[in-house]
Amino acid sequence: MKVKVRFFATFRELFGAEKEVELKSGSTIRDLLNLLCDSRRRRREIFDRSGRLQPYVKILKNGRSIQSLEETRIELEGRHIQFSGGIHTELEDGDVVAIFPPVGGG
Amino acid sequence: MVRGFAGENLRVNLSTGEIKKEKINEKWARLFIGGRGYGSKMICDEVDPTIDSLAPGNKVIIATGPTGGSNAPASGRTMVITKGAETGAIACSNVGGFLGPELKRAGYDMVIIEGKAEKPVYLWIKDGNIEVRDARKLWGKKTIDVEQGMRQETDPKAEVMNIGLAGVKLSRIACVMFDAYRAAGRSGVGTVLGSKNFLGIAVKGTKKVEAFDPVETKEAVAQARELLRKSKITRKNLPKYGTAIMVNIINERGGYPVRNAQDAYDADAGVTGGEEIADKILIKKWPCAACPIACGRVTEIREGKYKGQYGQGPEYETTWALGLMCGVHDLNAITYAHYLCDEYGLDGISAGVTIACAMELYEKGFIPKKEAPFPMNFGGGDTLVKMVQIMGERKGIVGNLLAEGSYRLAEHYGHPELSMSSKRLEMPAYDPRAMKGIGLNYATSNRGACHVRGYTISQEVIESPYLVDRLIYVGKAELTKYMQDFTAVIDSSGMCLFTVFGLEYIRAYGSILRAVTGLPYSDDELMKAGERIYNLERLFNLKAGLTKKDDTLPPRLLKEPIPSGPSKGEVCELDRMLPQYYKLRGWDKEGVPTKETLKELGLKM
Repeated sequence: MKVKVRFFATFRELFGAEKEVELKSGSTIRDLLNLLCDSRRRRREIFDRSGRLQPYVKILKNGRSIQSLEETRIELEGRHIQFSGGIHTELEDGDVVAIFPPVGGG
Repeated sequence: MVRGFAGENLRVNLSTGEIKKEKINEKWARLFIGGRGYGSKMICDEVDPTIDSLAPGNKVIIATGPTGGSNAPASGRTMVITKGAETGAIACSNVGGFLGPELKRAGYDMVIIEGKAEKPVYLWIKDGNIEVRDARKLWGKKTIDVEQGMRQETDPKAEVMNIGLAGVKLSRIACVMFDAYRAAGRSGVGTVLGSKNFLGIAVKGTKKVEAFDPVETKEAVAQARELLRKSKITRKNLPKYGTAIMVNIINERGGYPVRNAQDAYDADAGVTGGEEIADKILIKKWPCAACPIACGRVTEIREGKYKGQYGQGPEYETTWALGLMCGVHDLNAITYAHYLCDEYGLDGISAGVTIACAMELYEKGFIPKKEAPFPMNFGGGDTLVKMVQIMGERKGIVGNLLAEGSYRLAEHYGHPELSMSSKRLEMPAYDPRAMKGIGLNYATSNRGACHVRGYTISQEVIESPYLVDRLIYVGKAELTKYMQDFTAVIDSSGMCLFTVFGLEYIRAYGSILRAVTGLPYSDDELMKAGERIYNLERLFNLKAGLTKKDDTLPPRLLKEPIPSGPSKGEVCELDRMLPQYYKLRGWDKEGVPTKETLKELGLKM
């Protein structure tokens, strides 16, 4: 399957602006990041020494923050809201993943 | 005696020519902090809320905060407070630059402008010497030329604020420009000055503003600056890319209003964003007084039709309002349109959103072709520029109406629902359908649709200091109230709202305020002061005739689901959030503060 990855702000200098990545089906955000972090510099920017995602890295899957997508599923006033699992979020063909450093303003 | 303040306010009556100096009221300094809070207290006490905003009885207060002139980070902010010309609600526009601290060095915390001059005048403040001067030679010129002219006539190093042609022609969306490029933009505060035949202020001061405890102030300031240095937002990305870094952030979430909010996502929005600005037009960063962040952009257009034009900006709000909100992707045209807004003294957000409204009215056939001076379709960069020009000069039928802002324009053509505004103030660059909290904030903001009265985007998007799911409306009443009260404290302190990305909580502001003023308010007491200020402003609006009906959003944002992009299908569930918000605020079902609430805050109806 193919997913589109977009980088913004300072991450553009490190990864380029946009990439299309070929992944095995069933791959997660972590698999994608492992593939993208193919140099020490890139890896250091995204993961800490013990391999955890740096807390400042913001990742969106199709516009939803994966950090808010913890592994829960709740029903709120008749509406299903699915939180699908942080860095273990599974990807599907055609997904768009956006990766940002911490930014604010405006 | 309370410190941090210069100690006196300057009252200038333009009708009688009388100039008075008044001592700062220490009790008010404790209850309303300063800046926005203190100035709003004066407006509420002195201005009849039912008065016509453009009548001589309205007043304008230029207010600094107690941290201004100290070395507290980004502490050069000034508020312009009045009854707004566009909204009829209480208005307070926050602006950066250098004039505020200079005013304090001259010995004044606030300047109160009242009455109406017979002929155009400006005010020249040099320490204790105050002169009301003839401004006829500079009246109606470009803001940058007015600034230079005022400096030539006074002191080459004077700090200057002024209105341009938009204020002179009483455009309802006129702002006041500080240091030529920083705008006290919203609600038509420049219009009110224009109605008083008042061009602006030049100020030069030589005194020092003393803190209560210089040692403790130094320490609190050092700690705050360290927090800003540690934050990747305030140290790295905001200085490097400016506020327009938010374009992709918001667009990727599907919350970036496009073509008068007919959509909320555009695949190519990035061509108008901070990364492109840094790459294509940026010359250097520009910091306001005592600011370690420097989000200001000095820019020059390097190619195309507008090549060679230079100025400052665009910023996030204007690259959106004059950009994708009008369907325009041409960064050079957007930048030039932004320069024009600065030169005319037009609020860039209101200008862009009003033009977007006119474009939709035109495309739907509500503006008759014979009235339109040229085709006004979405998407044209040159069309955008021409529309800013006829708006600034009030040229022709449409140009004259554009200068009135989107609500009056859309109402004139029979479709007020197409004005993307609340309390007649045009909305900023965050679609409330994709970020529910900001919708509640737009609807309940005392000055109309404004993002910086309660910037819930911090939590809903930026994750500073924590993340709240943007698409859930539960809990947004609490978040909105908290951010509104907190912001009232920051605005009243004289510090910039952007410091919140590093300082995050009230603690750092409390430490600085206590050390600077010597007032023993606790952090909780400061948050209570924020709540008091918010309720005070609300009372003014209620007395001005605003009601629960005005706490709303354009029908499009409440009923029309976003048609495409990552937030497809979403609307803003304001009706679910508003009752909860009223309850939390201690307001009744009509949105009126209850007796108990007023008593607790020490306010009277």
